[in-house]
This record gives sequence, structure tokens and C-alpha cells, in this order.
Amino acid sequence: MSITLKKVSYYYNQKTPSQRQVLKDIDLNIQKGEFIALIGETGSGKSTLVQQLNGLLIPSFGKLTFEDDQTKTVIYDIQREPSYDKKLNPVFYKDKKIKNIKELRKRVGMVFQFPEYQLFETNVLTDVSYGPKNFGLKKEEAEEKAKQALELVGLDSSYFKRSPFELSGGEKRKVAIAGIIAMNPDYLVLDEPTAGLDPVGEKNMMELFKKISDTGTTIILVTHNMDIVMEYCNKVCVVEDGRISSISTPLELFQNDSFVKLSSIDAPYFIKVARELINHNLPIDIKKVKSIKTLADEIRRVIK
Amino acid sequence: MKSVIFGRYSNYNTPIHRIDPRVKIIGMIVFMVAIFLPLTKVGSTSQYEINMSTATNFIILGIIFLIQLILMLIGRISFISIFKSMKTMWFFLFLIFLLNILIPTNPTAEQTAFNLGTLAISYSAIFSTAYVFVRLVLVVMITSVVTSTTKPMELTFGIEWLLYPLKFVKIPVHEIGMIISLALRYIPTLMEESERIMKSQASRGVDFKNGKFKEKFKSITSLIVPLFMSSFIKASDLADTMEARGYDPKAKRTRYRMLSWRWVDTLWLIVIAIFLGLIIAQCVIGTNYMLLLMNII
Ligand SMILES: Nc1ncnc2c1ncn2[C@@H]1O[C@H](COP(=O)(O)OP(=O)(O)O)[C@@H](O)[C@H]1O
Ligand SMILES: [Mg+2]
Repeated sequence: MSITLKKVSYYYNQKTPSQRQVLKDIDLNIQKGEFIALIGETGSGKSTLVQQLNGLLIPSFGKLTFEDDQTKTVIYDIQREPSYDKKLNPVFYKDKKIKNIKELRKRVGMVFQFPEYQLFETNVLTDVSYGPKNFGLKKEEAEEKAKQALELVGLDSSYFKRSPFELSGGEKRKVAIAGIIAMNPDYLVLDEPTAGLDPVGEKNMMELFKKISDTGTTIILVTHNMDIVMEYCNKVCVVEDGRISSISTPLELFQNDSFVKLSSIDAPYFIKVARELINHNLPIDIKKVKSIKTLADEIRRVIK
Repeated sequence: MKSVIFGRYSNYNTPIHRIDPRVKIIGMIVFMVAIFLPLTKVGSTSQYEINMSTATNFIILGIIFLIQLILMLIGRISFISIFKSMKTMWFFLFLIFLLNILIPTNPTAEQTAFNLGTLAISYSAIFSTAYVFVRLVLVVMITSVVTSTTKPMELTFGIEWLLYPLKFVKIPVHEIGMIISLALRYIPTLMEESERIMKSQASRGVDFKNGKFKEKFKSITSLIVPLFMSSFIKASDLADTMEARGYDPKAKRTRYRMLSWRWVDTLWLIVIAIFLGLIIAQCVIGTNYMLLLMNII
């Protein structure tokens, strides 16, 4: 099972004086079960990119396919006008045929930054079961799903009947995330989900996502925290100015000298320590540094 | 969400964009007066008089339409936006038409346009609906010209400046100006916010476009409640920030940006004054003059 974006380009404010291309020929394939990180500077287009995945934004051109075990569904395939010229204004197709958008949204759950703003119901349980109900579940089934989701995020039954507005910030966020998990998505997109949380809250939240990932859900995570990328993700995409400039494992990315020097992206803490030590003439082999433990091993080896 | 009534500021640099906001506001008021002047002679009974004044009215409105069309072309205002704002008014128009029809006028045979079942629909009902329609279009046009060629902040300055004389009758002009500019300042923020919330809810399977009435009601609630919550938070944050920076509504304030008057603005003002003069002259003598002329002949 996989989602594939092919040659996706996106313009904001299409056909107005402030038209601007934010995504440029994005090719991306996301396989079932991955825990994939999207990193890049603010304004590089990460949020715009992830919103293509569940059809909240429809690209100006490009193709989105959704592949099941047996079937392959083209959700949309918007082509460039043949006379497309990069210098002139691109010609946009007017009607963008989109199939199964609701099905896509059910499969791909999306958690925005500060998701607590999406709460509106009178109590936690109804709010969380709102999503599943929208996707056609009966009230009882939806509430069952909601209870499971709330349990998973760590809110017990004492919360069910409370108003979401009287909860603390962290709890609100958990409720909001439960509201997405309750829909049982195959893919979970998280756009900076830990923004504004304290380190402990962040850690707890990431453990939660790991738990969700372990149930077989694919996770797509936008984050600025490289320690998180290193610890949880098995793949990392770097977005630079609307393009994907690299796809690799976190370790490959962070060990690569040229990359870390060039980009404004920080490395995880232990890699930074290793680099500092190298700068101070400790002949550590960066390729062998994979974690704090291997860093310690390397230091020991060098000192001996 | 995109189809807001009246155009949003568009960032071109046309002669219309460069006019002083005060002139534009005055001009807009003059146009509105011209559009809404009760041109039909009240109390005229003779069919002939009514016909005559109807014709004159439509000619005048036609001239206003042409002038505004030219202004729109100069200011590069998109016609699509006008249609979009009209779209929200169809229902309104239909209602007016309905009311006009249902007011029992008992038209004579000669006044009847056509019969709808037992209902006789008079020319005057059709005309008054047409008036409302034409006037609405004209108002939308002129407001779009002003709002899409003037930055909201400039607009506020203009309004505040024009309201200044009211200060002497103890009306808090500065505060009103501040309220207007804050309101205008927060329109884009609110739009962004509502787009964000709509997207979050769309991810939860809400369909804002389709659905039965009950579902629609629910989806609107899912937008409005969070929007209110975040607006309250933003408002109280803003109040705190202003207080922390020592905002005092009573204090004398200076401006970062000054409005600067240029000779073209004077020219435009003169043109507007002449236009106003013509409109008033037409109003006073227009229909009468025509009738006079007819009587002599
Ligand atoms: N609604 C919008 N209208 C116009 N431009 C936008 C909008 N949203 C984002 N942008 C622009 O698109 C670019 C990419 O934004 P975004 O995808 O939010 O980046 P990131 O999530 O990586 O910080 C930014 O330069 C931003 O200014
Ligand atoms: Mg973002």
C-alpha cells in the first residue's frame, strides 16, 4: 500500500498579481508502515506539501495515486497545458477532476499545528466521535472508536463527559489528535504536532505516535526537532524552496558533511557533539557515530 | 470563503490606486447619493409623467454605470469579483421582487405587464425591482472600485480624517478610527483562521458545500465555535499587548504614514464636485424640465 505524488506543482494565489509557486515538481512515494519525517526551513513548503496528501489542497499540476494491495486508484491527474511555458504564466486547467476525495480523507488523517483549535463539541467524547460519524459510522460505533482513541492518547473515561474547553492545553491537543485517530486512518500526517509543548510533553506525544506507528499506521511527521527525527523516523525528506532535495535515512543525512554545512538545518545533539570534538582535533570517525552509545565507544577508542 | 462582498485590495499601481483615500471616499459618497436619489417624481399620477421619469431615471443610471465601468477598467478591478458579490444577493433580489408583486396595486389594464394566474403584475412592480437591481449593481461596483484600490489602512485614515469635525461635538473620532482599523486589520487574519479551521474539519470528513440542512448546520457550528474561541483569545491578547505598550485612547497620537495631497487629487475633487453639481441640477430640474418641454410642444 502506498501514496505517490508525481510532478506535483502548487501555486498560491493562482492567476493574481501575487501568484507564487510554492511546490516545484514534487515526486514522493510513501510506503505503508513508514515513519517519515519532513524537514526544512520555515516557508520551504512542508505544510503545503502535506496538505496535498489528503486533498485539502489540489495542485496546479500533478498526479496523486493511491495504491492498495490489489487496486491502484488515481485520485487526480492534472496535466500541464501542452503549450506550458515556464517564463510566461502557466496555463491552468479549470476543472480538476477529483475522485474519492472523502475516501482519501478517511485514509489519510491530518493533524494540523495547534490542533486544539478544531474542538467545538460540548463534551470530549462527542467531539472525538465527530470524525468517524462523518465517515458514515453509527453513533454507537463511532463512540466505541472514540473511546479506543482516547484510551490510546491516555485520556481515561473520567474525561469523556467533560467539556473540551475546560481542559489544559496539552489535554486539548490529545483530544484533537484522538479525533483524528478515531477515524482509523492508514496514514497519519502530523504537521508540527509538538509545537509549543514542554520537553516532557513532547516526549510523551512522540511516544504516542510511536505507539500508533506500531499498530501499522504510516506516519508522516513535519518537525524541526532533529533529535526526534533521529530517534523515531526511518526516513527523512528535506524540503528546500519547494523541492525535495534529499530522501534518505536520518543517519545518512546527518552524517553527510556537505549537507549539514550547507543547509540551515541543525543536526541531532550527539552528532553536533561529535563534530565539535572533530573540530577540536579528536580523530573520531563520524561514520561510526550512530547514537550516544556509539559516540561514547568512538571516544573511548580514540583516547586509547 | 473567497466570495466576500466587495473586492479585496489588489496590489496594482493605477491612477485610481494613487488617488488620495479622502477623495475616493468623498467620490464614493457622491456616487451613492447619485445612485439613490429618488428620481421618480413622487405623487405623479399621469401615466405619461411616470413613463417619462422612468425613462430619464434609467438613462441617468446608465450614465453612472458607464462612468463606473470606466473607473473599473482604469483601476483594473476584476469583473468576476463583482459577479461573485452579486451571487450572494440573488436571494435578496428575489425577495424584493416578490414583495413588489405582492403589494396590491390593482393595476389598470394598461398598466399590467402580464398576468400570473389571477395575479396581475404591473409594469411598476417590474420597474421597481429593476431599479433595486440596477442600484445594487452600481453600489457594488463603486464600492469595489474603492475597496480594491485603497489599502484598508488608508481607508481608515481617510474616514478618520473626514470624521474629524465630529470631534467638536464630543464624538470619539480617534477611538472610532482605531476600532475600524483594528476590525479591518483582523479581516484577513479571521479569513486565514477560518480557512485553517475549515481544513481541520474537512480532514474530519466535514463537507462544507454539500449535505442536508442538518449536516450543514453542524458543519457551520464546527467552524463558528472554534473561530469564536480563537477570536476571543486573539482579542484579549491584543488588548494586553496594546496596554503593555501604553496605549491610551485619550492621548494625542502621531502617524507613521501621512496622507499627502497632490494636485491630481484636487483635480479629481473638482471633477467630483462638477459631477455632484450635475446630479443635483438634474434632480431639481431634470424631470420637470422634460415635462415642461413636452408641455410646450
Ligand atoms: N494561504 C497562503 N497564501 C499564500 N501564500 C501562502 C499561503 N500559505 C503559505 N504560503 C506561502 O507558501 C510558502 C510555503 O509555506 P508552508 O507550506 O506553510 O511552509 P512551511 O510549512 O515549510 O513553513 C511560504 O512562503 C508561505 O508564505
Ligand atoms: Mg508549516
